[in-house]
Amino acid sequence: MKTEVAKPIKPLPSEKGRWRFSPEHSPVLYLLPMLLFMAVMVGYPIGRVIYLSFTQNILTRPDLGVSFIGLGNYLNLFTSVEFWETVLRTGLWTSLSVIGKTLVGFLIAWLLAKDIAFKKFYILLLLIPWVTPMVVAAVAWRWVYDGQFGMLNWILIQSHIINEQVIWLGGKMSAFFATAATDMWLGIPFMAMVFLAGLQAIPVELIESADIDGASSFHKLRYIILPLMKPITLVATTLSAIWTFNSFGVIWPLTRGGPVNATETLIVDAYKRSFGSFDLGMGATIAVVIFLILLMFTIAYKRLLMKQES
Amino acid sequence: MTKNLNHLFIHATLLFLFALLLFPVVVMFSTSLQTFENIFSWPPDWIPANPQWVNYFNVWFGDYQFSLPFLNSLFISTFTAVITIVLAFPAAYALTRFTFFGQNALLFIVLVTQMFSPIVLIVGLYQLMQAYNLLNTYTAIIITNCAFTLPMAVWLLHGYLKNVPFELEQAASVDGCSRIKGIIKIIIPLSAPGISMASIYAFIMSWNDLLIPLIFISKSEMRPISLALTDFVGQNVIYWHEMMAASIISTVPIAVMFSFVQKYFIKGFMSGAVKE
Repeated sequence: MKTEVAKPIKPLPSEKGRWRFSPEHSPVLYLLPMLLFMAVMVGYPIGRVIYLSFTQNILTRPDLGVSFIGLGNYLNLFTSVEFWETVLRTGLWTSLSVIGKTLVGFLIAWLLAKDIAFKKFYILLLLIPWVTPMVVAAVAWRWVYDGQFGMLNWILIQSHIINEQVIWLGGKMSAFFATAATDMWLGIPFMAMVFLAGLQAIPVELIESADIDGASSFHKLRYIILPLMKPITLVATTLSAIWTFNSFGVIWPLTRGGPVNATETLIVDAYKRSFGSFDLGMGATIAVVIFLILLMFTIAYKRLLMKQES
Repeated sequence: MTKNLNHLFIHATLLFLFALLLFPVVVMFSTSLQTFENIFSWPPDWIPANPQWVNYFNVWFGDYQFSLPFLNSLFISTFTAVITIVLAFPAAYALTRFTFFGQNALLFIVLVTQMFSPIVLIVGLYQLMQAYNLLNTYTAIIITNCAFTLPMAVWLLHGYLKNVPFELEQAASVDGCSRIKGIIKIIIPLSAPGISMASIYAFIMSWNDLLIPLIFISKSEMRPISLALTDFVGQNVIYWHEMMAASIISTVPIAVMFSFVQKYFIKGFMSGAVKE
Protein backbone atom coordinates (compact mmCIF):
# COMPACT_ATOMS: atom_id res chain seq x y z
CA MET A 1 0.00 0.00 0.00
CA LYS A 2 1.20 3.46 -0.83
CA THR A 3 -1.34 5.42 1.13
CA GLU A 4 1.26 7.81 2.52
CA VAL A 5 1.95 9.39 -0.83
CA ALA A 6 -1.72 10.03 -1.54
CA LYS A 7 -2.65 13.65 -0.97
CA PRO A 8 -5.95 15.42 -1.69
CA ILE A 9 -5.68 16.39 -5.31
CA LYS A 10 -6.02 20.13 -5.84
CA PRO A 11 -6.93 21.52 -9.25
CA LEU A 12 -4.31 23.67 -10.98
CA PRO A 13 -5.60 27.20 -11.58
CA SER A 14 -5.52 26.87 -15.36
CA GLU A 15 -7.59 23.70 -15.28
CA LYS A 16 -10.15 24.97 -12.78
CA GLY A 17 -12.82 25.80 -15.35
CA ARG A 18 -12.72 22.33 -16.86
CA TRP A 19 -13.11 20.77 -13.43
CA ARG A 20 -16.08 22.77 -12.28
CA PHE A 21 -18.49 19.90 -12.83
CA SER A 22 -16.06 17.04 -12.48
CA PRO A 23 -17.21 14.54 -9.84
CA GLU A 24 -13.55 13.92 -9.02
CA HIS A 25 -12.59 17.41 -8.01
CA SER A 26 -15.64 19.53 -7.43
CA PRO A 27 -18.57 19.36 -5.02
CA VAL A 28 -21.02 20.88 -7.52
CA LEU A 29 -22.57 17.69 -8.88
CA TYR A 30 -23.03 16.26 -5.39
CA LEU A 31 -24.79 19.35 -4.12
CA LEU A 32 -26.84 20.12 -7.19
CA PRO A 33 -29.78 17.74 -6.64
CA MET A 34 -30.31 18.94 -3.08
CA LEU A 35 -29.88 22.60 -4.00
CA LEU A 36 -32.35 22.39 -6.88
CA PHE A 37 -34.86 20.56 -4.73
CA MET A 38 -34.50 23.00 -1.85
CA ALA A 39 -34.76 25.97 -4.20
CA VAL A 40 -38.11 24.72 -5.51
CA MET A 41 -39.53 23.31 -2.28
CA VAL A 42 -38.14 25.76 0.29
CA GLY A 43 -36.77 28.81 -1.50
CA TYR A 44 -39.81 29.36 -3.70
CA PRO A 45 -42.42 28.94 -0.91
CA ILE A 46 -40.54 31.36 1.34
CA GLY A 47 -40.38 33.94 -1.42
CA ARG A 48 -44.03 33.31 -2.16
CA VAL A 49 -45.07 33.71 1.48
CA ILE A 50 -43.11 36.94 1.83
CA TYR A 51 -44.74 38.26 -1.36
CA LEU A 52 -48.22 37.18 -0.22
CA SER A 53 -47.71 38.92 3.10
CA PHE A 54 -47.60 42.23 1.19
CA THR A 55 -50.86 41.56 -0.64
CA GLN A 56 -54.52 41.46 0.09
CA ASN A 57 -55.59 38.04 -1.13
CA ILE A 58 -58.77 36.57 0.29
CA LEU A 59 -59.93 33.54 -1.67
CA THR A 60 -63.50 33.77 -0.39
CA ARG A 61 -63.75 37.38 -1.58
CA PRO A 62 -62.81 37.22 -5.28
CA ASP A 63 -64.58 40.55 -5.75
CA LEU A 64 -61.75 42.27 -3.87
CA GLY A 65 -59.13 40.72 -6.13
CA VAL A 66 -55.47 40.48 -5.32
CA SER A 67 -53.83 43.79 -4.61
CA PHE A 68 -50.42 44.83 -3.39
CA ILE A 69 -50.87 46.67 -0.12
CA GLY A 70 -47.29 46.99 1.10
CA LEU A 71 -47.04 46.79 4.86
CA GLY A 72 -50.83 46.92 5.28
CA ASN A 73 -51.15 43.38 6.62
CA TYR A 74 -48.32 43.93 9.06
CA LEU A 75 -49.86 47.19 10.30
CA ASN A 76 -53.24 45.50 10.71
CA LEU A 77 -51.64 42.60 12.51
CA PHE A 78 -49.46 44.63 14.85
CA THR A 79 -52.30 46.96 15.79
CA SER A 80 -54.72 44.14 16.55
CA VAL A 81 -55.11 43.27 20.21
CA GLU A 82 -55.98 39.68 19.34
CA PHE A 83 -52.62 39.14 17.65
CA TRP A 84 -50.70 40.24 20.72
CA GLU A 85 -52.92 38.05 22.84
CA THR A 86 -52.02 35.14 20.58
CA VAL A 87 -48.31 36.00 20.84
CA LEU A 88 -48.57 36.14 24.63
CA ARG A 89 -50.56 32.89 24.71
CA THR A 90 -48.01 31.16 22.47
CA GLY A 91 -45.21 32.40 24.71
CA LEU A 92 -46.93 31.21 27.86
CA TRP A 93 -47.94 27.88 26.39
CA THR A 94 -44.45 27.22 25.04
CA SER A 95 -42.74 28.23 28.29
CA LEU A 96 -45.14 26.21 30.40
CA SER A 97 -44.54 23.11 28.32
CA VAL A 98 -40.76 23.56 28.07
CA ILE A 99 -40.37 24.25 31.80
CA GLY A 100 -42.47 21.19 32.59
CA LYS A 101 -40.45 18.98 30.27
CA THR A 102 -37.17 20.29 31.65
CA LEU A 103 -38.08 19.84 35.32
CA VAL A 104 -39.64 16.39 35.00
CA GLY A 105 -36.97 15.29 32.53
CA PHE A 106 -34.22 16.40 34.87
CA LEU A 107 -35.80 14.71 37.87
CA ILE A 108 -36.10 11.41 36.00
CA ALA A 109 -32.55 11.67 34.64
CA TRP A 110 -31.17 12.50 38.08
CA LEU A 111 -32.84 9.44 39.59
CA LEU A 112 -31.79 7.20 36.71
CA ALA A 113 -28.17 8.41 36.81
CA LYS A 114 -27.75 6.75 40.19
CA ASP A 115 -26.52 3.22 40.44
CA ILE A 116 -29.88 1.47 40.80
CA ALA A 117 -31.40 -1.84 39.79
CA PHE A 118 -33.65 -2.22 36.70
CA LYS A 119 -32.13 0.89 35.14
CA LYS A 120 -32.39 -0.45 31.58
CA PHE A 121 -36.00 -1.39 32.14
CA TYR A 122 -36.84 2.11 33.37
CA ILE A 123 -35.17 3.62 30.33
CA LEU A 124 -37.16 1.32 28.05
CA LEU A 125 -40.40 2.45 29.68
CA LEU A 126 -39.30 6.06 29.48
CA LEU A 127 -39.03 5.84 25.71
CA ILE A 128 -42.70 4.91 25.24
CA PRO A 129 -44.06 8.48 25.05
CA TRP A 130 -41.26 9.32 22.63
CA VAL A 131 -42.15 6.57 20.17
CA THR A 132 -45.83 7.46 20.28
CA PRO A 133 -46.74 9.41 17.14
CA MET A 134 -47.94 12.90 18.02
CA VAL A 135 -51.40 12.34 16.59
CA VAL A 136 -51.82 9.07 18.45
CA ALA A 137 -50.80 10.79 21.67
CA ALA A 138 -53.31 13.57 21.05
CA VAL A 139 -56.09 11.08 20.33
CA ALA A 140 -55.29 8.98 23.40
CA TRP A 141 -55.13 12.02 25.67
CA ARG A 142 -58.43 13.25 24.26
CA TRP A 143 -60.01 10.10 25.54
CA VAL A 144 -58.19 10.41 28.88
CA TYR A 145 -59.52 13.98 29.25
CA ASP A 146 -63.08 13.03 28.21
CA GLY A 147 -65.56 14.80 30.46
CA GLN A 148 -68.00 11.94 30.79
CA PHE A 149 -66.05 8.71 30.69
CA GLY A 150 -62.45 9.89 30.86
CA MET A 151 -60.07 7.94 33.03
CA LEU A 152 -58.44 11.12 34.38
CA ASN A 153 -61.71 12.14 36.04
CA TRP A 154 -62.07 8.67 37.48
CA ILE A 155 -58.58 8.75 39.03
CA LEU A 156 -59.03 12.25 40.43
CA ILE A 157 -62.45 11.43 41.89
CA GLN A 158 -61.16 8.20 43.43
CA SER A 159 -58.33 10.09 45.10
CA HIS A 160 -60.74 12.85 46.23
CA ILE A 161 -58.90 15.60 44.40
CA ILE A 162 -62.05 16.62 42.58
CA ASN A 163 -65.68 15.94 43.48
CA GLU A 164 -67.37 15.91 40.11
CA GLN A 165 -66.40 15.28 36.54
CA VAL A 166 -64.51 18.02 34.76
CA ILE A 167 -64.74 18.58 31.00
CA TRP A 168 -61.01 19.19 30.66
CA LEU A 169 -60.96 20.34 27.05
CA GLY A 170 -64.12 22.42 27.48
CA GLY A 171 -62.87 25.10 29.87
CA LYS A 172 -60.44 27.81 28.77
CA MET A 173 -57.96 27.41 31.60
CA SER A 174 -58.16 23.64 31.79
CA ALA A 175 -57.80 23.23 28.01
CA PHE A 176 -54.71 25.45 28.06
CA PHE A 177 -53.07 23.30 30.73
CA ALA A 178 -54.35 20.03 29.29
CA THR A 179 -52.84 20.64 25.83
CA ALA A 180 -49.56 21.76 27.42
CA ALA A 181 -49.53 18.61 29.56
CA THR A 182 -49.91 16.44 26.46
CA ASP A 183 -47.07 18.29 24.78
CA MET A 184 -44.93 17.89 27.89
CA TRP A 185 -45.68 14.20 27.95
CA LEU A 186 -44.32 13.80 24.43
CA GLY A 187 -41.17 15.82 25.17
CA ILE A 188 -40.15 14.46 28.57
CA PRO A 189 -38.20 11.42 27.25
CA PHE A 190 -35.97 13.53 24.99
CA MET A 191 -35.15 15.86 27.87
CA ALA A 192 -34.54 12.99 30.27
CA MET A 193 -32.23 11.19 27.83
CA VAL A 194 -30.23 14.35 27.11
CA PHE A 195 -29.86 15.07 30.82
CA LEU A 196 -28.97 11.47 31.54
CA ALA A 197 -26.18 11.64 28.94
CA GLY A 198 -25.01 14.90 30.51
CA LEU A 199 -25.08 13.55 34.06
CA GLN A 200 -23.13 10.46 33.07
CA ALA A 201 -20.44 12.66 31.57
CA ILE A 202 -19.75 14.33 34.93
CA PRO A 203 -16.43 12.95 36.23
CA VAL A 204 -16.95 10.51 39.10
CA GLU A 205 -13.97 12.00 40.95
CA LEU A 206 -15.79 15.30 41.34
CA ILE A 207 -18.70 13.66 43.10
CA GLU A 208 -16.41 11.42 45.14
CA SER A 209 -14.30 14.26 46.42
CA ALA A 210 -17.47 16.10 47.39
CA ASP A 211 -18.58 12.96 49.23
CA ILE A 212 -15.29 12.90 51.15
CA ASP A 213 -15.82 16.53 52.10
CA GLY A 214 -19.17 15.43 53.49
CA ALA A 215 -21.40 17.28 51.03
CA SER A 216 -25.09 16.48 51.21
CA SER A 217 -27.08 15.37 48.16
CA PHE A 218 -28.59 18.82 47.92
CA HIS A 219 -25.21 20.55 48.05
CA LYS A 220 -23.80 18.26 45.38
CA LEU A 221 -26.78 19.08 43.18
CA ARG A 222 -26.63 22.79 43.83
CA TYR A 223 -22.89 23.41 43.60
CA ILE A 224 -21.56 20.69 41.31
CA ILE A 225 -24.20 19.07 39.13
CA LEU A 226 -26.37 22.04 38.19
CA PRO A 227 -23.51 24.37 37.19
CA LEU A 228 -21.97 21.60 35.07
CA MET A 229 -25.32 20.89 33.44
CA LYS A 230 -26.04 24.50 32.56
CA PRO A 231 -24.66 24.51 28.97
CA ILE A 232 -26.40 21.28 27.98
CA THR A 233 -29.63 22.50 29.57
CA LEU A 234 -29.52 25.70 27.55
CA VAL A 235 -29.05 23.84 24.28
CA ALA A 236 -31.75 21.29 25.05
CA THR A 237 -34.33 23.85 26.19
CA THR A 238 -33.72 26.07 23.17
CA LEU A 239 -34.20 23.12 20.84
CA SER A 240 -37.26 22.02 22.76
CA ALA A 241 -38.67 25.55 22.63
CA ILE A 242 -38.38 25.48 18.83
CA TRP A 243 -40.24 22.15 18.62
CA THR A 244 -42.88 23.18 21.14
CA PHE A 245 -43.47 26.48 19.42
CA ASN A 246 -44.05 24.51 16.19
CA SER A 247 -46.43 22.08 17.80
CA PHE A 248 -49.47 21.72 15.58
CA GLY A 249 -50.02 17.97 15.79
CA VAL A 250 -50.87 18.21 19.49
CA ILE A 251 -53.18 21.20 19.62
CA TRP A 252 -55.14 20.59 16.43
CA PRO A 253 -56.47 17.10 17.22
CA LEU A 254 -57.12 18.02 20.87
CA THR A 255 -58.90 21.36 20.67
CA ARG A 256 -58.46 22.92 17.20
CA GLY A 257 -57.39 26.09 19.04
CA GLY A 258 -60.54 26.30 21.15
CA PRO A 259 -62.45 26.72 23.36
CA VAL A 260 -62.77 30.42 22.42
CA ASN A 261 -59.15 30.65 21.24
CA ALA A 262 -57.84 29.41 24.59
CA THR A 263 -55.26 27.15 22.91
CA GLU A 264 -54.77 29.10 19.71
CA THR A 265 -51.04 29.51 19.23
CA LEU A 266 -49.44 31.39 16.33
CA ILE A 267 -49.13 28.19 14.30
CA VAL A 268 -52.82 27.35 14.72
CA ASP A 269 -53.74 30.96 13.98
CA ALA A 270 -51.71 30.97 10.75
CA TYR A 271 -53.29 27.69 9.67
CA LYS A 272 -56.82 28.93 10.39
CA ARG A 273 -56.32 32.20 8.53
CA SER A 274 -54.88 30.52 5.44
CA PHE A 275 -57.01 27.39 5.25
CA GLY A 276 -59.99 28.21 7.45
CA SER A 277 -60.94 31.70 6.33
CA PHE A 278 -58.74 31.57 3.20
CA ASP A 279 -57.19 34.95 3.98
CA LEU A 280 -53.87 34.07 2.34
CA GLY A 281 -52.38 37.54 2.82
CA MET A 282 -52.90 37.58 6.55
CA GLY A 283 -51.97 33.91 6.93
CA ALA A 284 -48.72 34.61 5.10
CA THR A 285 -48.02 37.63 7.29
CA ILE A 286 -48.27 35.48 10.42
CA ALA A 287 -46.13 32.82 8.74
CA VAL A 288 -43.43 35.44 8.12
CA VAL A 289 -43.60 36.49 11.78
CA ILE A 290 -43.25 32.83 12.78
CA PHE A 291 -40.30 32.48 10.40
CA LEU A 292 -38.55 35.44 12.02
CA ILE A 293 -39.16 34.12 15.53
CA LEU A 294 -37.80 30.68 14.56
CA LEU A 295 -34.80 32.29 12.93
CA MET A 296 -33.97 34.03 16.19
CA PHE A 297 -34.33 30.79 18.11
CA THR A 298 -32.15 28.95 15.59
CA ILE A 299 -29.38 31.53 15.82
CA ALA A 300 -29.51 31.22 19.61
CA TYR A 301 -29.35 27.43 19.31
CA LYS A 302 -26.32 27.56 17.02
CA ARG A 303 -24.49 29.98 19.30
CA LEU A 304 -25.17 27.84 22.34
CA LEU A 305 -23.96 24.76 20.49
CA MET A 306 -20.73 26.46 19.48
CA LYS A 307 -20.13 27.73 23.00
CA GLN A 308 -20.66 24.26 24.36
CA GLU A 309 -18.14 22.80 21.92
CA SER A 310 -15.38 25.24 22.80
CA MET B 1 -28.63 0.27 55.48
CA THR B 2 -29.06 3.96 54.60
CA LYS B 3 -28.09 3.07 51.06
CA ASN B 4 -30.92 0.55 50.85
CA LEU B 5 -33.39 3.07 52.22
CA ASN B 6 -32.10 5.59 49.73
CA HIS B 7 -32.60 3.18 46.85
CA LEU B 8 -36.07 2.30 48.08
CA PHE B 9 -36.92 5.98 47.99
CA ILE B 10 -35.53 6.35 44.47
CA HIS B 11 -37.52 3.39 43.20
CA ALA B 12 -40.67 4.67 44.85
CA THR B 13 -40.26 8.09 43.21
CA LEU B 14 -39.49 6.53 39.85
CA LEU B 15 -42.48 4.22 40.07
CA PHE B 16 -44.74 7.14 40.88
CA LEU B 17 -43.38 9.19 37.96
CA PHE B 18 -43.66 6.27 35.57
CA ALA B 19 -47.20 5.54 36.71
CA LEU B 20 -48.10 9.08 35.65
CA LEU B 21 -46.11 8.83 32.45
CA LEU B 22 -47.55 5.51 31.35
CA PHE B 23 -51.12 6.28 32.40
CA PRO B 24 -52.35 7.28 28.91
CA VAL B 25 -50.67 4.23 27.39
CA VAL B 26 -52.40 1.94 29.86
CA VAL B 27 -55.70 3.69 29.10
CA MET B 28 -55.07 3.28 25.38
CA PHE B 29 -54.33 -0.40 25.69
CA SER B 30 -57.13 -1.13 28.15
CA THR B 31 -59.69 0.71 26.00
CA SER B 32 -58.55 -1.12 22.89
CA LEU B 33 -59.65 -4.38 24.51
CA GLN B 34 -63.14 -3.28 25.61
CA THR B 35 -66.51 -3.79 24.02
CA PHE B 36 -68.48 -0.81 22.75
CA GLU B 37 -70.88 -1.03 25.72
CA ASN B 38 -67.98 -1.19 28.15
CA ILE B 39 -66.22 1.99 27.05
CA PHE B 40 -69.29 4.02 27.96
CA SER B 41 -69.77 2.49 31.39
CA TRP B 42 -68.96 4.26 34.62
CA PRO B 43 -66.88 3.49 36.63
CA PRO B 44 -64.52 2.39 33.88
CA ASP B 45 -63.67 -1.26 33.62
CA TRP B 46 -59.88 -1.24 33.69
CA ILE B 47 -59.16 -4.88 33.10
CA PRO B 48 -61.85 -6.30 30.83
CA ALA B 49 -62.90 -9.82 31.79
CA ASN B 50 -63.01 -10.76 28.12
CA PRO B 51 -60.28 -8.90 26.30
CA GLN B 52 -61.65 -8.08 22.86
CA TRP B 53 -58.68 -8.84 20.65
CA VAL B 54 -61.23 -8.94 17.88
CA ASN B 55 -61.18 -5.10 17.93
CA TYR B 56 -57.81 -5.15 16.25
CA PHE B 57 -59.16 -7.52 13.63
CA ASN B 58 -62.23 -5.30 13.08
CA VAL B 59 -60.16 -2.16 12.78
CA TRP B 60 -58.05 -3.74 10.09
CA PHE B 61 -60.68 -5.60 8.06
CA GLY B 62 -64.00 -4.12 9.21
CA ASP B 63 -65.91 -0.89 8.53
CA TYR B 64 -63.08 1.23 9.83
CA GLN B 65 -60.85 -0.06 6.99
CA PHE B 66 -57.68 0.90 8.78
CA SER B 67 -55.54 -1.20 6.46
CA LEU B 68 -56.02 1.47 3.80
CA PRO B 69 -54.60 4.49 5.68
CA PHE B 70 -51.92 2.22 7.11
CA LEU B 71 -50.78 1.16 3.66
CA ASN B 72 -51.02 4.75 2.42
CA SER B 73 -48.73 5.84 5.23
CA LEU B 74 -46.36 2.98 4.54
CA PHE B 75 -46.18 3.94 0.88
CA ILE B 76 -45.73 7.66 1.54
CA SER B 77 -43.15 7.21 4.28
CA THR B 78 -41.08 4.66 2.35
CA PHE B 79 -40.83 6.88 -0.70
CA THR B 80 -40.10 9.92 1.45
CA ALA B 81 -37.23 8.05 3.09
CA VAL B 82 -35.77 6.85 -0.21
CA ILE B 83 -35.92 10.22 -1.96
CA THR B 84 -34.57 11.99 1.11
CA ILE B 85 -31.50 9.76 1.17
CA VAL B 86 -30.92 9.97 -2.58
CA LEU B 87 -30.79 13.76 -2.30
CA ALA B 88 -29.14 14.03 1.10
CA PHE B 89 -26.29 11.54 0.78
CA PRO B 90 -24.36 13.21 -2.07
CA ALA B 91 -24.85 16.61 -0.43
CA ALA B 92 -23.59 15.34 2.92
CA TYR B 93 -20.66 13.72 1.11
CA ALA B 94 -19.75 17.00 -0.56
CA LEU B 95 -19.99 18.85 2.73
CA THR B 96 -17.50 16.52 4.42
CA ARG B 97 -15.05 15.79 1.57
CA PHE B 98 -14.69 19.15 -0.13
CA THR B 99 -13.97 22.63 1.10
CA PHE B 100 -15.68 25.27 -0.94
CA PHE B 101 -16.92 28.82 -0.86
CA GLY B 102 -20.14 29.22 1.12
CA GLN B 103 -19.81 25.89 2.88
CA ASN B 104 -20.56 27.24 6.33
CA ALA B 105 -23.39 29.37 5.00
CA LEU B 106 -24.90 26.28 3.40
CA LEU B 107 -24.64 24.35 6.65
CA PHE B 108 -26.36 27.18 8.46
CA ILE B 109 -29.17 27.28 5.90
CA VAL B 110 -29.62 23.54 6.39
CA LEU B 111 -29.91 24.14 10.13
CA VAL B 112 -32.42 26.96 9.69
CA THR B 113 -34.66 24.99 7.34
CA GLN B 114 -34.56 22.08 9.73
CA MET B 115 -36.14 24.26 12.39
CA PHE B 116 -38.97 25.48 10.15
CA SER B 117 -42.53 24.98 11.00
CA PRO B 118 -44.32 23.53 7.96
CA ILE B 119 -46.77 26.41 8.30
CA VAL B 120 -44.14 28.81 6.98
CA LEU B 121 -43.88 26.99 3.66
CA ILE B 122 -47.27 25.43 3.30
CA VAL B 123 -49.16 28.27 1.61
CA GLY B 124 -46.45 28.60 -1.03
CA LEU B 125 -46.31 24.84 -1.51
CA TYR B 126 -50.09 24.65 -1.74
CA GLN B 127 -50.08 27.15 -4.60
CA LEU B 128 -47.21 25.31 -6.24
CA MET B 129 -49.09 22.00 -6.10
CA GLN B 130 -52.25 23.69 -7.32
CA ALA B 131 -50.42 25.16 -10.29
CA TYR B 132 -49.08 21.76 -11.30
CA ASN B 133 -52.32 19.88 -10.55
CA LEU B 134 -50.70 17.88 -7.79
CA LEU B 135 -53.30 18.36 -5.06
CA ASN B 136 -54.74 15.04 -3.95
CA THR B 137 -51.73 13.09 -5.14
CA TYR B 138 -49.18 11.07 -3.22
CA THR B 139 -46.47 12.91 -5.12
CA ALA B 140 -47.42 16.18 -3.44
CA ILE B 141 -47.22 14.70 0.05
CA ILE B 142 -44.04 12.79 -0.62
CA ILE B 143 -42.03 15.65 -2.06
CA THR B 144 -43.33 18.06 0.58
CA ASN B 145 -42.35 15.61 3.30
CA CYS B 146 -38.90 15.43 1.71
CA ALA B 147 -38.55 19.20 1.95
CA PHE B 148 -38.90 18.87 5.72
CA THR B 149 -36.85 15.71 6.24
CA LEU B 150 -34.00 16.56 3.88
CA PRO B 151 -32.21 19.16 6.06
CA MET B 152 -32.16 16.88 9.09
CA ALA B 153 -31.01 13.95 6.98
CA VAL B 154 -28.15 16.04 5.59
CA TRP B 155 -27.28 17.04 9.14
CA LEU B 156 -27.31 13.47 10.44
CA LEU B 157 -25.36 12.06 7.48
CA HIS B 158 -22.85 14.89 7.60
CA GLY B 159 -22.20 14.07 11.25
CA TYR B 160 -21.78 10.42 10.35
CA LEU B 161 -19.58 10.82 7.27
CA LYS B 162 -17.16 13.06 9.16
CA ASN B 163 -16.12 9.99 11.10
CA VAL B 164 -15.63 7.74 8.07
CA PRO B 165 -11.89 7.91 7.36
CA PHE B 166 -10.89 9.78 4.22
CA GLU B 167 -7.72 7.66 3.87
CA LEU B 168 -9.69 4.66 2.65
CA GLU B 169 -10.95 6.61 -0.33
CA GLN B 170 -7.50 8.00 -1.03
CA ALA B 171 -6.05 4.52 -0.97
CA ALA B 172 -8.68 3.41 -3.45
CA SER B 173 -7.94 6.34 -5.74
CA VAL B 174 -4.24 5.50 -5.67
CA ASP B 175 -5.20 2.01 -6.76
CA GLY B 176 -6.93 3.57 -9.74
CA CYS B 177 -10.48 3.69 -8.48
CA SER B 178 -12.58 6.65 -9.60
CA ARG B 179 -14.20 8.80 -6.94
CA ILE B 180 -17.74 7.66 -7.74
CA LYS B 181 -16.63 4.05 -7.71
CA GLY B 182 -14.91 4.65 -4.38
CA ILE B 183 -18.08 6.11 -2.93
CA ILE B 184 -20.17 3.18 -4.11
CA LYS B 185 -17.69 0.49 -3.13
CA ILE B 186 -16.27 1.93 0.08
CA ILE B 187 -18.17 4.89 1.53
CA ILE B 188 -21.74 3.67 1.12
CA PRO B 189 -21.12 0.27 2.74
CA LEU B 190 -19.19 1.93 5.58
CA SER B 191 -21.91 4.49 6.21
CA ALA B 192 -24.78 2.02 5.99
CA PRO B 193 -25.67 2.55 9.69
CA GLY B 194 -25.76 6.31 9.18
CA ILE B 195 -27.88 5.94 6.06
CA SER B 196 -30.36 3.67 7.80
CA MET B 197 -30.63 6.08 10.72
CA ALA B 198 -31.30 9.04 8.46
CA SER B 199 -33.85 7.09 6.45
CA ILE B 200 -35.62 5.90 9.59
CA TYR B 201 -35.73 9.49 10.74
CA ALA B 202 -37.35 10.53 7.46
CA PHE B 203 -39.78 7.61 7.66
CA ILE B 204 -40.86 8.49 11.22
CA MET B 205 -41.25 12.18 10.42
CA SER B 206 -43.54 11.56 7.50
CA TRP B 207 -45.45 8.84 9.36
CA ASN B 208 -46.18 11.37 12.13
CA ASP B 209 -47.00 14.41 10.07
CA LEU B 210 -50.53 15.76 10.18
CA LEU B 211 -50.42 19.20 8.59
CA ILE B 212 -49.30 18.24 5.09
CA PRO B 213 -51.97 15.60 4.37
CA LEU B 214 -54.54 17.78 6.13
CA ILE B 215 -54.00 20.44 3.50
CA PHE B 216 -53.14 18.39 0.41
CA ILE B 217 -55.54 15.46 0.68
CA SER B 218 -59.31 15.61 0.49
CA LYS B 219 -60.00 12.12 -0.89
CA SER B 220 -60.75 9.79 1.98
CA GLU B 221 -59.22 6.75 0.27
CA MET B 222 -55.85 8.55 0.13
CA ARG B 223 -55.67 9.52 3.78
CA PRO B 224 -52.59 8.48 5.75
CA ILE B 225 -53.03 7.29 9.35
CA SER B 226 -52.46 10.68 10.98
CA LEU B 227 -55.42 12.10 9.11
CA ALA B 228 -57.55 8.98 9.49
CA LEU B 229 -57.12 9.06 13.26
CA THR B 230 -58.06 12.72 13.70
CA ASP B 231 -60.94 12.60 11.23
CA PHE B 232 -62.49 9.96 13.38
CA VAL B 233 -62.44 12.13 16.49
CA GLY B 234 -64.59 14.75 14.82
CA GLN B 235 -67.57 12.44 14.44
CA ASN B 236 -70.57 12.24 16.77
CA VAL B 237 -70.14 8.77 18.15
CA ILE B 238 -66.51 7.87 18.59
CA TYR B 239 -65.76 4.18 18.73
CA TRP B 240 -62.98 4.72 21.21
CA HIS B 241 -62.20 1.03 21.57
CA GLU B 242 -61.46 0.74 17.85
CA MET B 243 -59.74 4.12 17.79
CA MET B 244 -57.34 2.96 20.46
CA ALA B 245 -56.70 -0.31 18.66
CA ALA B 246 -55.93 1.70 15.52
CA SER B 247 -53.65 4.00 17.55
CA ILE B 248 -51.69 1.06 18.83
CA ILE B 249 -51.42 -0.46 15.36
CA SER B 250 -49.98 2.81 14.05
CA THR B 251 -47.51 3.14 16.92
CA VAL B 252 -45.91 -0.30 16.73
CA PRO B 253 -43.91 0.09 13.48
CA ILE B 254 -42.56 3.44 14.61
CA ALA B 255 -41.69 2.09 18.04
CA VAL B 256 -39.72 -0.79 16.56
CA MET B 257 -37.78 1.46 14.18
CA PHE B 258 -37.19 4.10 16.79
CA SER B 259 -35.71 1.66 19.26
CA PHE B 260 -32.76 1.16 16.89
CA VAL B 261 -31.82 4.79 16.43
CA GLN B 262 -32.90 6.75 19.48
CA LYS B 263 -29.41 7.24 20.86
CA TYR B 264 -28.11 8.57 17.59
CA PHE B 265 -30.80 11.25 17.43
CA ILE B 266 -29.71 12.79 20.70
CA LYS B 267 -26.09 12.76 19.56
CA GLY B 268 -27.08 14.29 16.23
CA PHE B 269 -29.01 17.10 17.84
CA MET B 270 -26.53 17.84 20.58
CA SER B 271 -23.16 17.31 18.91
CA GLY B 272 -23.26 20.45 16.81
CA ALA B 273 -22.68 18.57 13.60
CA VAL B 274 -23.02 21.87 11.82
CA LYS B 275 -19.99 23.42 13.46
CA GLU B 276 -16.82 23.13 11.49
